[in-house]
Parts: sequence; structure tokens; C-alpha cells
Amino acid sequence: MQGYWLAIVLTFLIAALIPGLLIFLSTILGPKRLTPEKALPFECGMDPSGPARERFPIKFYLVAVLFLVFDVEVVFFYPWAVLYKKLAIFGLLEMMVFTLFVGLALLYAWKEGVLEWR
Amino acid sequence: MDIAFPAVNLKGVLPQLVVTSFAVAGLLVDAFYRSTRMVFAISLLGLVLALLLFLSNWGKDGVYEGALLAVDNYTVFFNILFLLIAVATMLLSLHYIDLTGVDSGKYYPLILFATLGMMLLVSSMDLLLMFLSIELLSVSMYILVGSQRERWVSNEAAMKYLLMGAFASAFLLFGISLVFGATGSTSFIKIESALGGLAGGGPFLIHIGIAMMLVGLGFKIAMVPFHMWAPDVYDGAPTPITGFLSTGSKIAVFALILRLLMNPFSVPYSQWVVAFWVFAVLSMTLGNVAALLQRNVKRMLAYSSIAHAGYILIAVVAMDGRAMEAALLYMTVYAIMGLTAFGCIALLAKGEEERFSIEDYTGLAYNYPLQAVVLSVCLLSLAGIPLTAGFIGKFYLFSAAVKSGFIGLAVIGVLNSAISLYYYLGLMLRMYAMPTVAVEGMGHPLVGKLAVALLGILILVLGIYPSPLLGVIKEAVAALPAI
Repeated sequence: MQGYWLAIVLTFLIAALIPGLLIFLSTILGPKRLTPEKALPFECGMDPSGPARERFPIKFYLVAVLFLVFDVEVVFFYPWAVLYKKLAIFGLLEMMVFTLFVGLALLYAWKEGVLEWR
Repeated sequence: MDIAFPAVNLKGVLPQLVVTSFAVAGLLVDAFYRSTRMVFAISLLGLVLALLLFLSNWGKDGVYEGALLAVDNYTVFFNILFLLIAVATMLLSLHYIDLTGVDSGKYYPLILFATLGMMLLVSSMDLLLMFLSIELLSVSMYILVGSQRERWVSNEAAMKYLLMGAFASAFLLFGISLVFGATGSTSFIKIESALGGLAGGGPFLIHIGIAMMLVGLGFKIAMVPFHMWAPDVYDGAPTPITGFLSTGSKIAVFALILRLLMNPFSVPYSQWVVAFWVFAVLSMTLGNVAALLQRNVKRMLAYSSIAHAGYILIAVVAMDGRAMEAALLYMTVYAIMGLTAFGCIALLAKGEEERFSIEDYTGLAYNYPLQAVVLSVCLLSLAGIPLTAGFIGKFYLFSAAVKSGFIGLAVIGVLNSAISLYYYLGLMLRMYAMPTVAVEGMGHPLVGKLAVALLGILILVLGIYPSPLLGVIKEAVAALPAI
């Protein structure tokens, strides 16, 4: 029993050791040439400027919400796909009802104009 | 691995399916045709159809063993109550949302979704379904509370409700996980049998689990000390939604608590009586005392609804067959009173602004006799004056407490009713005994007035002749496992 847990502890130790070692070595061995651009905080290719509380278009929010909803819903297809044969006709019917409601949600979002990039 | 297929009983869940389909249809009709009237008609049709289906279910079915849902008289009773509450809310909203700039195409289907959440909540026989239906109810309510997008207070209320509600849900979920850890199941029936033979009401873990769940559920019924959100949210929400929130959602969670204490947690409950006693006394007293100080009618009624949650908690403390009947009676009566009170306020809305301040009600009876009369009947009933439904409700509640030996609790309840008389009668006095201030141009919506008048008559009828309702409630309670 103790050896069992020891293996897990060792795994954690090794998992901490190797990246730590690599980062440590690269700070010692690697060359450092600091330019002003490198010292800036990273912001996806743009020059960071102005306060953090900037306004940004609301359409990003809608797309993000849509993505979240459909992403999570589609996850339900995976267990069904794995157990497709065992669930047989019952599973198929359940998934058809589920897909119908997901489709209706998409239709609703479409008609509400969420998919248009305005 | 073999997969156990659930026994599909479509007839048992047909009303829920009807409500779901009509809610989705309502949303789609709104998206395609942009016709508020059509959405209203579809939503109302869905509610009425489900109501008829439930009426035909009365007295027929038992608990489905191993199923997620129970279909018995207890759940059918509450389902019918929720559908009636939803219908009343829709009728009271008809005039209001035209005036106050609510996004109406989503408003009615969301009421249906919230109602569906309540219906599934009282029927659930599994902790996971319970959690899902609470979330369905809450998420619909968050949106409904914030549906006046142009009004600052409505947004603020929705934000507060969402943040604190999410916090409460986290507690509830953690409690569920601990109960699952202690008993190895989420099914009510299996939890009960796992706890059945254990001394001291089961392992300590189960008590921590119950405490966590109580925080989550106590938040939803606005029980002191988890009531902080209620005045702000009730004040900021569109007024018909305030009525819906304070009656429907509260009653649904109360019905669930009663079932939980009756069925899976009947063994550990014996150690929780004192806690519920304290919660009941705190809710009644704080609600009534804080209501005395309010200058805003909606906030006053919000605190009064906290106090009423305290009254219903008396039945949770007493917890025998008689107390269950009293609880069901009080919840029904409270639903009517809450809808009437907030309905009357909603009818007094004028244009963008509403009349919340207590000064606006000065001399109201001279310009708006119907609203004033119905509101007065409702206030008398809330205070528990004889010949109104509120008196019958309180009478059964307090006598159940006395017969179970909680005389102190009953005395505190009666004292609290006496305190509440002051602010209820104060508002009545203002409407009748003072000269009118110039209140011009509030609407005279026919449907809303009719609905409120009907509710007012119902309060009086139940106050004088409650026995048919009591008979129905007796049958509903008889469906629960023996106490």
C-alpha cells in the first residue's frame, strides 16, 4: 500500500523537477538581450496602450456565449458515440430529441441576429 | 457493463413536456413573427393545457420506484398551484409590460420556463434533478428580474440576484456532494434507506451536507439570515415578477424542503428542529420589524414576505401530518395574497414610472376604488384578520404548532402578527382616511383589474368557506410517506 502512494509522490516530484531544472538551466545558459519591446506586457500582437477598462464590441460577448453553449452541449455526443451500440434505439431517440432542441436553439439565435457580425 | 434503461412513462411527464414545448414554441414565434400577442396566447395555451392534464392526473398515480420523478397527489397539487400562479402572473403582466418597456417576446416564455423549473422541483426524487430544476427556475428568474433593460434598478436587482444566487447554488451543490459521499446515492429513496438504520441520524458528514443544502435552499426562500438579497431584488424587479418570485419560487422550494425532511432526511431531521425553530423566529421577527420602517411599498411587502416565510417555517418545525396540511394551506393562501398585493401595485404603474412610495397611496381610494378595495382585503388577509384567507391559514398553522407542543413558537407567531397589523393597517388608513393627492392618468387595464378582483374575491371566499380546499390538501398530504 505504501509503495503505491510512493509512486504517486515520486511522479509529482519528477514532474516538478524536470521543468524546474529546464527553466533554471535556460536562465543560466541562455543569452539575454533586453529590448524595450520585449519588456512590454504581452497583449496579442498589439501595442498595449490606455487604461485596462477599455470598451470593446459586445459582439465578442455574444459569440463567446454561443460558443460556450454549443461547445458544452456537443460534449454530450461523446458518451453516446462511445455507447452507441449498447444504447441502441433508446439512445438514438434520446439523442434525436436532444439534437432537435440544440437545433432549435441555433435557429433561435440565428433569427435573433446573433450570428450576424455587426 | 449493462445499462439500466429508465422506465419511460410519458404520460406521467406529459404536462411538463407540454410546458417545455410551448415555451420553446413561444420563443421561436417571437423570433420569426415578433408578435407579442401571439407569444402571449401560445404561452397561456401551454399553461392551460398542462393544467387540464394535471387535473386528470389527480389521485391516479403513485411514486415511480427508481424513477427521477414522483407523480402523486402532493406533486400534482403543487404543480396545479404553480400553473395557476403563472397564469395569474401573465394576466397581471399584460398591461404592465406594455407600459414599462419590458422586452416582451422573451418575457412570457421565460415565465413558462420558470414554472417548469418549479414543477420539476416539487416532483424530483433525485438530488441531481432537484439541482437542475432549481437552476432552471433561478436562471429564468434572473433574466425576468432584469427584463426592464432601460431601468437602472432592474439591472442592479438582476445582478445582485445572479451573483448571490450563484453563491447559494454553490453551497447547495457542495451539500449535495457531501450527502452523496455519506450515503452513496443521489436518489431520495436510496438515501432514506441508507440513513434508516443509523444511530444519531447518520454520520456527521450528512449533517454538514444538510447544513450546506440548507444555506442554498434557505437563500431561495429568503429565510433569515439568508434574506439580504430579497428587499433589493423585490424592489428592482418588474412588479408582476416580484409577485411571481415571492410566491412561486418560494413555495416551490418550501414544497421541496417539506419533501426532503419527510422522505430522505426524516432520520437526521430530529437533530435539526432547534435550528429551524431559530430560523422561524428570526425570519418572523426581523421581517416584521424591518417592514415597520419602510417607506417604499414594495420593500415593505418584501420584508413582509420574509416574515411569511417565517410563518411557514413554523410548520417545518412542527412537522407532523397536521402541520403539513397547515403548511400547504398557508402556502396556497400566501400565493393568492402575494399575487394580489403585487398585482395591485403593478396596476398602478403609469408610463415609465411606478408608484412605490408610500406617499403615492394617500387617498388612493377616491380615484382608484377597485384597486384600493382589493389591496385592502389583501392587506387585512396578510395581517390575518378573520373572514379572510390569511386568518384561516394562520389559525391552522398556529394550532398545529400548539398541538405539537411548540407553544412558545405559536405565541411568537401571534405576537408577530400583531406587529404586522401596524404597517398593513397604516397603508390602508393612508388610502382611505386621508385626502387624495393629485394622482393623474394611471391606466385602467381591464384584464389586470379583472384578475386582481378575482384574486380578491378568492381571498374572501377561502376565508369564509375553506373546507373544499382543506379536503384537497388532506388528499395531497396523504400521498406522502407516513409520518
